[in-house]
Amino acid sequence: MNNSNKRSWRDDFAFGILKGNPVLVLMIGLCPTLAVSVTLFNAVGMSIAVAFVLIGSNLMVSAIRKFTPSELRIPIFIIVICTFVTIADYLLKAYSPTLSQKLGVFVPLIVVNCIIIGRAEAFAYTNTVFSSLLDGIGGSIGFFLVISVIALIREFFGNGGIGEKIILNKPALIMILPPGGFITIGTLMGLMNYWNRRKKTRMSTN
Amino acid sequence: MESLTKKIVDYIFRLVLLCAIASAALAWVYVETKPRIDLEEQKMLLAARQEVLPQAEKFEEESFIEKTSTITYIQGYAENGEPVGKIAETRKRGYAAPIKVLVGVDETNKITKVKILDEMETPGLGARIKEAKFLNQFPGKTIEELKLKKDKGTIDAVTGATISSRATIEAVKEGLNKFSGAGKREVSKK
Amino acid sequence: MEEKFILSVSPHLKTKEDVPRVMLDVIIALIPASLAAVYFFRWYALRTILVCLIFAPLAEWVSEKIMKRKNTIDDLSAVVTGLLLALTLPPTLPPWIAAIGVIVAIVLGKAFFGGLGWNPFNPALVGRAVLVACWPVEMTTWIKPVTSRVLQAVTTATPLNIVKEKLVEEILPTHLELFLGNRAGSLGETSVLALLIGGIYLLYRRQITWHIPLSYLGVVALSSFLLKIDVLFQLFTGGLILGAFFMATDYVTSPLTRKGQIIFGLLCGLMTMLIRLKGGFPEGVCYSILIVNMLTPTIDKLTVPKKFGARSRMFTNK
Repeated sequence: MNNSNKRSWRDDFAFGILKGNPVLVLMIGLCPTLAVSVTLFNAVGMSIAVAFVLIGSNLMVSAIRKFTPSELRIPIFIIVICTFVTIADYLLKAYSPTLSQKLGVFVPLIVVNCIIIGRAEAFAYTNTVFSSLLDGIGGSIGFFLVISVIALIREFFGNGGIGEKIILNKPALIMILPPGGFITIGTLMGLMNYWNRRKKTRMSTN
Repeated sequence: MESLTKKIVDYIFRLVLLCAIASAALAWVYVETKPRIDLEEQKMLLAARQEVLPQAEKFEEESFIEKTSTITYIQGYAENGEPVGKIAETRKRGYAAPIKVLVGVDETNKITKVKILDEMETPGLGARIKEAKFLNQFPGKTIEELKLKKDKGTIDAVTGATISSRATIEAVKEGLNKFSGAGKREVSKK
Repeated sequence: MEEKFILSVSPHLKTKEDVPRVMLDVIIALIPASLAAVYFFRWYALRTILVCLIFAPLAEWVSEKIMKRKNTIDDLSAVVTGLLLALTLPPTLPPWIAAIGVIVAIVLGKAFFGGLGWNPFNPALVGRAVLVACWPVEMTTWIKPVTSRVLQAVTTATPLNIVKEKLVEEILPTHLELFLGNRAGSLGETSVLALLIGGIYLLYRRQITWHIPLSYLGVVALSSFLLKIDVLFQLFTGGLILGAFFMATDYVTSPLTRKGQIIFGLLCGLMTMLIRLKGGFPEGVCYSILIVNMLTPTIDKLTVPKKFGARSRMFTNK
């Protein structure tokens, strides 16, 4: 599907946002999504770090795809991704130590985030640099939207408000505990599937 | 056979080249960011220490030997170089994981302030040991008074979190115990 | 095609028994415990039970409307879930928390999995577990039973709490007090007597069999005997009797075979004792039943009865 001639640059860009949303549709990168989506601040910080690594690694992998024999592609992807992750980690530590402290181990763990290596393998390795750039941006936006929505729901109900602003004085703590993450993400996936199915049946009846 | 060797050599060359480029890039970023990272870390450390020992300006790590074990702590000095208090870092097992506590005492071994450095207690329950309402009970207390009211002491536990509250108290006590008679011993500076 | 063939899991026996009758029996069996709750905790108990009884069918009705499913409030299962949940809640719990708990139990514990018969976990216990995680302070604030003289709520600790946290100032109730229910605890768990009356009624009506309750209580008694701790204290405190007779025996979430039910009870008992003695919580009935619920499909698979006339699997495999 990806390699059909009709695909335009818009499709490359839009794929990761809804139709191929990394978290809700492809179901990759769930671990950091669950772990970091406790507060909106952390979620936004995490999506910036992921966007940096995803766009960087997509660009790099597609730029050197002619240099990469297929037997060597996994180690080469990993070297590229590790480099970008380490750079992101240093930059965060130097310029935003609070964010770096809050995200903790999840920044280095972007290395094993399936979104990055998944897009490198499924897209960037077989596509042009420009397409890969668009795919990276689209995927980052998709990740940002989902993790922010999850964080918004979890922080609001689990903490009683967003940031310093507290509205509920007896928040439902479970939402900022791991089970709350699973409940939120599961409900969102259900809604997404419901929405997709309804769209499909509507298209077939028309 | 020969083509296989050639392929292997080629692959090794490619990987080595890529690694070299990656390392060079990393080295450059490291050199550029290292001073800032160190600075930020020091700032954070100083902020935490000053929080528990507000009257001190400078801090130095010192240690003394008691019986066979070496006890390390942080000595705080005022601007004029006069020692004004000490800080100990202790940890005790809480409900989920060790609770790391910073205890500040003045030169008469009275608690100035207690700060929770790190904990993994249940949010909204055990994690409320970080709140001022609980921690403000510590300054000025003697070691005998450091007990929960349930255990015939003077400290109010965090509601529903007896285990976390007890662990914090134990950690503070351990910090205090370190200094009992610290002034009389030979102190070696680091 | 789909409408012509009805596919359902065993048992296929046809009797006059149906879901509403079973549920009605469970409700009747819970009446003594509910009355005891109202006697010991007065207005607090009444308030919580009413809220749960109103919101449970309501949540079921609304969720089935939204999901466009067949309406099933008249099978009374939602009422049972609501009543069971109410009996596991502490008396002073604000009514809005109880309402949320019941909605979570019905929607998250049952409707999300496909309705009655598809839920892997006991819905009432799901509701309770979520509430404990959400509002731990409110869910662990206990009061002394309200007697006619003292109408004011006096906070105290449950007997299991006293033991777990080594509270020196609290006095442990006597065995008789524990048996009658004159002690702090969740609404329906305090009176062992009332719960036993209900349990015996269910056994008499053959809505439950002895396998799960007996193996569950047996393990708790045996392990406390072997560990040389007070056997009766372990049996009478916490939600053990309520859990063993009313929660663990839930048809949907417990194994089908007798052998499986005994294994189920044994595991529940072991988990409960592990949590009570080694875990962080003073009481472990709720979590242990939920955890062992997860094993029910596996237990069912391991205890498939042998076909009549078939040789044991060990030989046929060779």
